[in-house]
Amino acid sequence: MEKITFVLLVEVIAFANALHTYCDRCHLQYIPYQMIYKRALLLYSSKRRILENLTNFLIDPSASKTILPPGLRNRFDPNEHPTFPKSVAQEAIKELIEQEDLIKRFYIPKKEE
Amino acid sequence: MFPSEKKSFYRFLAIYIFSTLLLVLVGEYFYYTFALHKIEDEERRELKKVSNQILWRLKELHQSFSKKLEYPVIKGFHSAIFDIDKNYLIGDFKPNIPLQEGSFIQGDLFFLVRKVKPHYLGAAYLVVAKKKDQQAYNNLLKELLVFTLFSLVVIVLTAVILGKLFLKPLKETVTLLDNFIKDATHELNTPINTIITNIELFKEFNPHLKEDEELKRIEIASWRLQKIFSDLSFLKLHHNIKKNIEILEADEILRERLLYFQPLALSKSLAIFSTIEECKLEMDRNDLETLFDNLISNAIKYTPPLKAIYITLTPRELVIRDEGIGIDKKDLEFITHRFFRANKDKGGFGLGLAIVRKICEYYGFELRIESKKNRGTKVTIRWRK
Repeated sequence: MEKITFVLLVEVIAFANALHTYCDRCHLQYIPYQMIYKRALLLYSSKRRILENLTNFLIDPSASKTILPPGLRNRFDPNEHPTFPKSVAQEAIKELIEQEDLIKRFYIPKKEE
Repeated sequence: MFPSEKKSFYRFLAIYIFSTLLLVLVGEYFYYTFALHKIEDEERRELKKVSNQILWRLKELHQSFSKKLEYPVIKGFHSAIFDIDKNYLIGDFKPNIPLQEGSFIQGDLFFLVRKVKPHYLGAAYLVVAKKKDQQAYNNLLKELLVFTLFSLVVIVLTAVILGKLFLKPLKETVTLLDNFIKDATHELNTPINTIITNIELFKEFNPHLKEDEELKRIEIASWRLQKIFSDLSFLKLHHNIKKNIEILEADEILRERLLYFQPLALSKSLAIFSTIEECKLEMDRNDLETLFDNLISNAIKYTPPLKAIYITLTPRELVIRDEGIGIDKKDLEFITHRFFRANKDKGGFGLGLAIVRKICEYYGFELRIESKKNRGTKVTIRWRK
């Protein structure tokens, strides 16, 4: 037990792989991060607004704040979602944005003259 | 073409051309605005079509799970997307423009900014641009220039034709009047000279009748007739006569002319006070005599009996002041116009002062007429301006 507490503490201090530490551990199924990010993009457009809104959700989850469609909402009931301190939630969302950033995947083809 | 006719013709041309051209330019302005909007509408329509293509492609890319995403580049156009905080996301150019929905021209690019919702790939604004269709703008300007030049030619031609058409009756009237004066002066010349010569002969052969009142009246009437004849001849033939410019002793000539008018002045019991200094003038003798004659005869004509006329000649100026009926203030500016008569009771054609003005203009003399109703008139001629 002390060993587990120590590992968690180290991970929290380091803020390394926050998604894995705080999300994947509890969600038994695979979390479709890309789909979540794309949905957040559709709704909020900018990284600043995604960070702000998703952080708000993670520190105080509720059905009205979730961006998930009704079908998925039932599978992951927000009311049972744990709450996180703001700094932890922000770090996890930043990691999500960094990991799933679509713009990074773009390339500009050479223009035909 | 007579000078007055030429003046009227050019005035008509100027007014007609200016007003018609103004009308054409106003019409062209409206056409230009309309055509400009048409060109811009066409550009906007094209940009909208391309922006729809890009939006459709952004939607596809948003749903794609590929590792690499190819940004849609369309030949002849530029595009870029911005997030809701107006941060540049990606594009084949990076425009520095205000992100407000609509279209506008900046530099040589025509921009269309569209809001995007839902925000595929995070895009809140899509900017599409293309090079302005400069050829279309140039063609429009060329078209307007050609039309303006063509209109100008048509307007000038129409103005010339209309002007000549309108001035034809006036020209005919002036020619008729001119011909009449020419014929009348020609016909009057011989009988007038015959009368004057025969009066002189009659006086020579009958010295006892020299002071006869009836004969004096005939003589004065003949002189008046000769004066009218010489005035009409002067105006008609003035431009045709070759002037013999020489140094004249104006004081001598003035004394001669005063002697000539003495009987007329005496017949009205007028006193003429003259102060004559030596004065030399470089001009035609006939012109100087006509100048003196017109001013002296006017003074005698419009001064009531028993009054006085004051004449001063100096190397600087000639001043003739009378105690006559004077001229109304409102008539003063027209008094030197041809055929204008401020007083119609005294007879005459209203040519005297018009002739004086013409001579003064020709030699560059300064003519000044001051007058007070029922107090008299003062005419001053400064020899050089």
